[in-house]
Amino acid sequence: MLGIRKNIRISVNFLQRRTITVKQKLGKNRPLPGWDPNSEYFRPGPTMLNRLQEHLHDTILPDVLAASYRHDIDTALSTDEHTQKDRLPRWIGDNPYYKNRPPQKMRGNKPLLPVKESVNPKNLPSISKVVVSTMHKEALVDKTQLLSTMMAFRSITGLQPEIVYARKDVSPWKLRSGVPVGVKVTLTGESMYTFLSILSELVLPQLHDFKGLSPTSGDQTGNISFGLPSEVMPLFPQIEAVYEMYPHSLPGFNVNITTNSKDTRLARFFVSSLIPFTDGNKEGYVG
Amino acid sequence: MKCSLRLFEKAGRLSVRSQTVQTFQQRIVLANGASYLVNTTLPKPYILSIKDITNMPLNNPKVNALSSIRGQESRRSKFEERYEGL
Repeated sequence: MLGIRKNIRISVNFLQRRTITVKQKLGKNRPLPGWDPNSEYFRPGPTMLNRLQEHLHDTILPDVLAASYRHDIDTALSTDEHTQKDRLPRWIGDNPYYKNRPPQKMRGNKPLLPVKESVNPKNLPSISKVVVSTMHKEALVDKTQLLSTMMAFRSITGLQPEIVYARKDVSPWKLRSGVPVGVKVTLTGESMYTFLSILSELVLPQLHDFKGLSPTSGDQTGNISFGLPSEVMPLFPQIEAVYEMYPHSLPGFNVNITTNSKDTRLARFFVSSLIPFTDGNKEGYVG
Repeated sequence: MKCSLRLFEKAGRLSVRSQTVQTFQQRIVLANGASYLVNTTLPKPYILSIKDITNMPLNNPKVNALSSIRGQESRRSKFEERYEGL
């Protein structure tokens, strides 16, 4: 004797604008498209022009080009035929063992840095991304203290931060592998310009002992990094309004500004329009 | 019971929202009266700033000689202190 299957009804109460069909309830319908605000794949686009991006592109870049352009270089000579392609020493000679031998490495295992090009309108510097990261020492003892840091970073950047875990066990620092120790946010696009705008225009001028960034900062691939103490965090307008609601202390953070410039001095010269450097950069960029 | 749980799990996916943080349009008023709009996570209509890029001597090196920020010494404040009685 066949048993009749019971008709199961499920009441689903979701606060949604559109009506959920029976097919959707049974999971047989395709998910909502990405342009629908109710969809899980919805990503909001830009809602207004970016002020800082326009300022950097329209005001700062012409000044950077005018200040760093070199008239004594023949531009025609900087084509592909004249640039040095092989920068590592090759094995040259009649020895048959030299054939297909890989080039020698530089002494001291130095890395091969990118070739510096003269500044022209096609390779002007621009900021590609900003990485804001921190390490919370109290999180080693009690990892719930990292929650305040996560919420604070979410407030000042507008993005959900990711947790940084320890890679190795280091007993003097009480580090254990896999323990959450810090928080990191990678900013690009509009959120990057918003963060840089608030940091450089509202937060850093309120610091009493801030005299500018170090004139020797930056690696030789166009990245400018600096650290800020823990007194900076309450100066953000997003944190200042609700500072008493954070149950744990908020740490300082490191900011890594990545530019597409191959020259450190050019990157510093460009970033100095946002955040001033100390007196070491007084004469400006000399290419 | 298993069947209903599965259906709930499937139906629950419909209301999953993305992890975007809500931002609000905000007008930042600088110390010299200039203002601009920016998208932040703070739901305040405007922010009044007392100390910012417009009146900080580090960002205005040419105006530093005569400017006087509260609590900070400059040539003007020294002049005023010296000839206070006149």
